[in-house]
Amino acid sequence: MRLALLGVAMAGVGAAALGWGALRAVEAPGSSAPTDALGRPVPEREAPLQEDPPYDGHYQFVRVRFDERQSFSSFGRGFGREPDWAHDWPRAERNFLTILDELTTVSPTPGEGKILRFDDPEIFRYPVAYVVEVGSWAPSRSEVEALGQYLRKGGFLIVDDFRGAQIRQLQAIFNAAIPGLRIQEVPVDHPIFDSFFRIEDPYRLAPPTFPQFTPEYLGVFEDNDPSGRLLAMLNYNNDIAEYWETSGRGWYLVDLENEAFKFGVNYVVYSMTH
Amino acid sequence: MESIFTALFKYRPLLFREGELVFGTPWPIAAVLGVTALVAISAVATYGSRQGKATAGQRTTLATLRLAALGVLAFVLLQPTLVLTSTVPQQNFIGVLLDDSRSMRLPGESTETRGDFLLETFGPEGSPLLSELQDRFSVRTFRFSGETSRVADASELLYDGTRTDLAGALDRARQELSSVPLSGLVVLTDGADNGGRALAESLVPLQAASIPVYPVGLGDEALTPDVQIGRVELPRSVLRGASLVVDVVVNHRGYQGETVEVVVEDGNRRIAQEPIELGPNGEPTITPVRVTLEEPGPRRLRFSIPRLEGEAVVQNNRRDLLVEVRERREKILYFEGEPRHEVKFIRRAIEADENLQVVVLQRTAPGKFLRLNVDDGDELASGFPRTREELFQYRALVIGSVEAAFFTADQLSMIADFASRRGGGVLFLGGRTAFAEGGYRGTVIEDALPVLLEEPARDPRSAFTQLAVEPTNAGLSHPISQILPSEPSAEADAADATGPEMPETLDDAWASLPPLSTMNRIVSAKPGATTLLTGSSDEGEDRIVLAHHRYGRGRVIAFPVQDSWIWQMHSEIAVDDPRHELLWQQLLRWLADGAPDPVHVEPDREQVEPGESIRLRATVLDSAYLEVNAAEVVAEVTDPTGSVRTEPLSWTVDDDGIYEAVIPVSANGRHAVEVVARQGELELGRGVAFFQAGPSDEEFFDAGRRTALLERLAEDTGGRFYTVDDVDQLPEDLRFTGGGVTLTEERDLWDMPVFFLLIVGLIGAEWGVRRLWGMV
Repeated sequence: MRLALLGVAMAGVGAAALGWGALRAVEAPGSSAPTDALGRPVPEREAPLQEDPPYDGHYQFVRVRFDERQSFSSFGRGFGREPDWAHDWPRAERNFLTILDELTTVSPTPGEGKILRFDDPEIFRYPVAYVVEVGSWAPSRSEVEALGQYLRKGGFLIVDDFRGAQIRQLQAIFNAAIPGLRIQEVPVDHPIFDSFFRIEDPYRLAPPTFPQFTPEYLGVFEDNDPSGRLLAMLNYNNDIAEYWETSGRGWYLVDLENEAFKFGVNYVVYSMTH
Repeated sequence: MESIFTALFKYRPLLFREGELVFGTPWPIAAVLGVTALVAISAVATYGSRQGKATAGQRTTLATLRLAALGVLAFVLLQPTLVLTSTVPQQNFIGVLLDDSRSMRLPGESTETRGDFLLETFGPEGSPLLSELQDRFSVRTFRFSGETSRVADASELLYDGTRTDLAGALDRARQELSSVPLSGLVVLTDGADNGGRALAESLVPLQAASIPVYPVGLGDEALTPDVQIGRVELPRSVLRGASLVVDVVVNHRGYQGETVEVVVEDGNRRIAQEPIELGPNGEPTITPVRVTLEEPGPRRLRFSIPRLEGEAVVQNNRRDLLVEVRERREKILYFEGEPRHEVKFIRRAIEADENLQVVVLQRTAPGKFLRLNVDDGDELASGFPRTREELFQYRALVIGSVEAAFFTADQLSMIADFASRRGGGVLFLGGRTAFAEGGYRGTVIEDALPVLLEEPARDPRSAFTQLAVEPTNAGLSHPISQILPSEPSAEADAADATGPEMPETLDDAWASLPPLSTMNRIVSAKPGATTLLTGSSDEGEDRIVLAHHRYGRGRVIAFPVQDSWIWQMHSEIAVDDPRHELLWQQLLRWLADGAPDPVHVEPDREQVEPGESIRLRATVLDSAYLEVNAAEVVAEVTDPTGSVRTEPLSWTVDDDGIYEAVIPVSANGRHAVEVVARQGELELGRGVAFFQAGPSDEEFFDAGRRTALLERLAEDTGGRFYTVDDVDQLPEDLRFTGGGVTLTEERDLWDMPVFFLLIVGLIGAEWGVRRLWGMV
């Protein structure tokens, strides 16, 4: 029953989000059209609800912005494409925050979240951060140090939308941030899969893209102790934000979209208690 | 002064106070007054009729002098007499109570020790004072310290009593002499009463029986030079690892401006030391000393000051106190109305503290709860407790951001009762649905809070305010606020090599913390509440950040900020900065500390002499913390040799749920008491307490003569206070002020020197004035 209601709610929210953005679009002062965080013109229906919302003590979705590593593959992607760190932004955040607000008592700051770099001290006001496409993440020394401090102080990192050999880059970053930190499997009976929704089998969520890769749920633990605190949750070979972004458009099965939202809700609730 | 009075008036002032004035003239008083009046009229007429060269003023002066002389003469002719009631010689008794406590070994005023004076006056060789007393009274002599007994004379005194029970001594002497005519009780003591009983209780029967008490104060009022640990307040039991801030009061005379060191030892281990600069003479200096107790079990802590040059008394440089360090996990319920970072960081802050168990009940959605750290699957399975029995199993309660409407009216009452009846601590955190913004105005919670609730903000998000937090003066010395680690850890040192350095002083530790934010505007604390932390908003408004007060048996704290985790997470905070952890560990420990178990026991004192008795007082409550009067309560007392004796405790009848027993103590050393309360087959609970048996140095504290106490003792019973300088007046005073078998005695006053001097003086003055004005 709850799942059925959830499905209806999610579908409705996804649709509502489109209209909501259009109704509440704001324009930057002095400009004729609103722009996004990348400086690109934003279609009216996807304009941000609020530009860079200030800290207000509530949960805020924070996306990590980074400089990309130059590689042959990235060169080949061509010009004009959005940066890797911005995949699915801002619709994924907007839809996810709407779901989080509707289903839980989290009461997040509405909007499409914040975008911060790890060398920005402001990120320490937001103990949950989200990062994607980490294969091209080329952090500076100060960003790596900040990441290490962020995780050790109590921050929680959600890593999404990466696959294959990209994990080697992530492992190197973690090792640089906290020497000796190992990426390990997060077992299906881990509390993160039962913090709000009971996700019996996380592997039921098929990846929306790159089906040739098998999803894995990995993580890094404090002191490499699997019974200890989970510092980062890695959706390896998967891309749950893709489902969030396209929710309500009919691109994927509603069941899969619902599952993807469940993961996000669980991650956030877990991060606020553990 | 008194000797001048006696020279003029023939008798001491005491006799005039005690006696009654009558006139003993054999002639009618009217006749005497009539003759006097005639003489006076003739004198006035003489001055009035003979004008001469004198002025009217001069004549008036001379007439007045003449009339005054005549008045005095007339008064003498009336034969004034003092009627006194005096004791009949050798038909009355007096009790002489001699202080046999250790403080009698301290220096006396006229003798080497205070005890020497007792030996000189009431020893076997006698003294003029004793002879005078014995001439008129049958003297019964007692010694007293913690106990009272009859002695033949002062040579039997050993001066080894570790307590002075003045009230008990007066009771004992009164009772022993109740069958004989008793003129009074003479008490020779320094007045250092530390028997633990109210002296006023013993005065009532003395007043009823009209038995005056004549205290003789021994020793100087102040011992100089001397320094002493005046007072140390320590809870009887604390949680292991507790960081206590103990206020140590140091008194001194003669060491103004000197710096001494207060040392705290647990057994042979020094656990704290604090330098203290002594203030003006006679004024107590209070210094907070931070003590962390890591060893579980009953611990005997010694607070001491090293001996100073030339000190009069060294035994009062140390105080030993018994404290039970509990090795248990205090179970605290934290109910949070929404997932938020505060939950995570509070859990992390206390995870290294083995003595705290924070059970989290977090509402993640309407009607949906996440439970963490519960003992079993049944605990909190239905959400927030619905019965007092379920709620009162916790020793402290933390209420996060949850609206009042979530609770039933009974649940709100239960939360208030948790503090007022159960005696636990309740902490209210800030948040978007806390305090006034959570609808708590007009509820029982508003009554329980230590702060006043303002009008709630219309737009909750507009209420967001950042606060720069600082401790108040009260906060700086409160255990919650001690956020500087007592000993920096090696791990922290290593980590700090790359992060901000840890401040060195407590003031700096607070000043360097980043601002927090609040959604609840709290600006006023209730009368009687203590504010520990305040905050200043960007607009300059002062807010309350942490305040507490007692509420019934328990305590309630308001901490209306929503993100104390910033003090762990902020970019300017080092990774291993312990301030956030210390704050929360100490806050939750203090919150749970002192929350009583349903059954608990306390001895009436923690130090007792072998041979004395100690009173055990147990409180027996059921699981809803209601008093139980029909319980079977038994105490098992284990002495230092390991032998166990069982004593039943009886309901006092006067107080619900209170049971008492008096236990004789025979062995030196630490005794353990375990009280078990049962109601039928049901065990209501157990309580443990400890006390120490053995000699104490209590006699050497405040060992100066307590004149005020002794004067009050005399005044309230109709007696008189003496020092060694005027104690020779005692026999005569006893004769006229004592009770027992008395007779009436008349003393003539007409021949008082003052009358002669007045008559001669007045006549001489008249003659002198006339000569001055040239009239003779």
